[in-house]
Amino acid sequence: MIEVRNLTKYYGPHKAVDNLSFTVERGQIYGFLGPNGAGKSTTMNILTGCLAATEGTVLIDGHDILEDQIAAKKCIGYLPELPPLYPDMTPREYLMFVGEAKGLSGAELRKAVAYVCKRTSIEDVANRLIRHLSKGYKQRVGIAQAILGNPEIIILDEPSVGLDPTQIIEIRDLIKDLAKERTVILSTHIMQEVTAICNHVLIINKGKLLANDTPENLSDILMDRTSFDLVVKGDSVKVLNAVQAVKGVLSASILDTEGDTVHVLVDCAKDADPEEDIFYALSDARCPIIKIERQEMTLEQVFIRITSQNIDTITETDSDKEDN
Amino acid sequence: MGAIFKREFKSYFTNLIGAIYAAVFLTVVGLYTSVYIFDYAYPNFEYVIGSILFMLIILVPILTMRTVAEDRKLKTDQLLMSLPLTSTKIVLGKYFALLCFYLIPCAIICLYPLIIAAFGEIFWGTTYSTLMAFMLLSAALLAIGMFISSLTENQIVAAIISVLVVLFTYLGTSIADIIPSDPTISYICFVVLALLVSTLIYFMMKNILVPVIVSFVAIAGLTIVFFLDNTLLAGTFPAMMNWFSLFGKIDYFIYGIFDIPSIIYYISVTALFIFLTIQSVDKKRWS
Repeated sequence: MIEVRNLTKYYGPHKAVDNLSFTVERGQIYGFLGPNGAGKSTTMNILTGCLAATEGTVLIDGHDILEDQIAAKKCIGYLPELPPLYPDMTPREYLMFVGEAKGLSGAELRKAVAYVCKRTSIEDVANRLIRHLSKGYKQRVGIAQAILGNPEIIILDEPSVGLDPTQIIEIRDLIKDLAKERTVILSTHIMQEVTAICNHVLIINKGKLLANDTPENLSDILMDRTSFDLVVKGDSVKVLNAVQAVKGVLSASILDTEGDTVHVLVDCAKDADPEEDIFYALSDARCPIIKIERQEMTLEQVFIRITSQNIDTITETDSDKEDN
Repeated sequence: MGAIFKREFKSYFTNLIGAIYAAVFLTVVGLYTSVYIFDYAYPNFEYVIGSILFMLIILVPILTMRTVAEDRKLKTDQLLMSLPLTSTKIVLGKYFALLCFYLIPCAIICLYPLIIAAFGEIFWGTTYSTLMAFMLLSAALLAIGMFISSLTENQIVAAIISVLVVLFTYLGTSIADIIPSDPTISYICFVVLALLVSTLIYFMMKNILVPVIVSFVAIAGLTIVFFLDNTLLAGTFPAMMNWFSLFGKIDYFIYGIFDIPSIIYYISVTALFIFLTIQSVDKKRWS
């Protein structure tokens, strides 16, 4: 669907995007993750033809974004960082304008506008001036504009900014729904958003692509060990001795004790599966387990580790994984 | 192009500036018409046109200042760029909307000669060819104003530069008359002009090398000519000022000459500045 090859962008001497290459498949939700100033917006502006890259090419459905811009842009709906709205128009007028510019007309145009107004729930404010709308509504008009005319690829730069929690859930559902037949690329710095809706994550920092994988794989790659959170009733020394004796357990440490319960963090080898063994060991020691929970590495931890890590190590981990 | 045209054209009606323009235009023309035609009893509407040209110094910039600059400010240029439209279509849509709105009050004043004709004899050919020249002159000034608006995202800066540029072309003939035809004066004026052009290039390209080369080549060339045979420079600057004076050309029409080179001149200036605006909009992508 989208093919990005060796994309580099300089702003004067500053390198905003550094040799970025990736491909985007149809029907997936891609999350662009990165700290502020990582080059997310720049990359999105290049993908949508708002900005020309210093080097490299972008192919949208086989059309070069610069050489064959009309055909390429017909496939794209774009919501930039700040929703590009004309304050002196009403959302309806504005959407009619955008629709017309996208090549819709007549009944088809009115139908498309009515549809997106409904999908983004802006029907109530459709005839008010955009100038007078709240930030959340403005954001939704911006999203409506991007999905107008059913483009194949929808690119959203921080779509949930300025929305309240209910609206965020609504918009996430909308994005998931849209991705059934279309491709969605969104940028965000909110981890939960990526975990909640994306089936692919691209992590970039300082213009470089650091990781390109599914959220699950990313946490797998970075997890060299599995951790368990254990709450056990019994004497702390007895519990510790019992757990440490189990095969596959690398270390166990007591986090705190509360009355007669002990809270233990158990680190195991990556491929070990010691839940059962721990259960029997503690049962033999007459220390009943209150709670046992496998700790998943959250994307947040992955993100922090990746962005603060040396790039070479990531590539190594990637190739290791391929070898396996 | 149709969508851009419609949006831009409508925006002049919701915008205070559109109303101010129409009100000032019609008031000034009405005032001069009543004084010239009804008080002094001249049957020449072309004199009215000749006297109201000064108002373009203000009216053109207030209409053109927002054309492209506003999109940059509102970030709607990103929307326009991501829509399946070429820069040419975007700029042409904007320009024709601007021109069409501009021409509405012009169309109203085109009716005045018909009213005047009811009370006496008028020179139809001169009157309407002057009105046509006035519209062509305005079209050229609007294109220049739009180009200036495309260089900045600040509407006030765009307006001030446009006022200065229109003022310069307005005073062109008068300045040409007072500048002596001495080669040294021409030399100095050309050097200043070369530096001004280089500054403009610098602001357009945000690149120091090209303007430095341009000004260096221009100044070196001028200096060589000046020291080899300075008679070549005698009177050239005033002549060039006359050539650049857009307002000077309309006088032919007021005197009753249907001057085709002037018409071509106006159309060429319009086309040139529309082309430059397209380049300037396109260039934003490469910044």
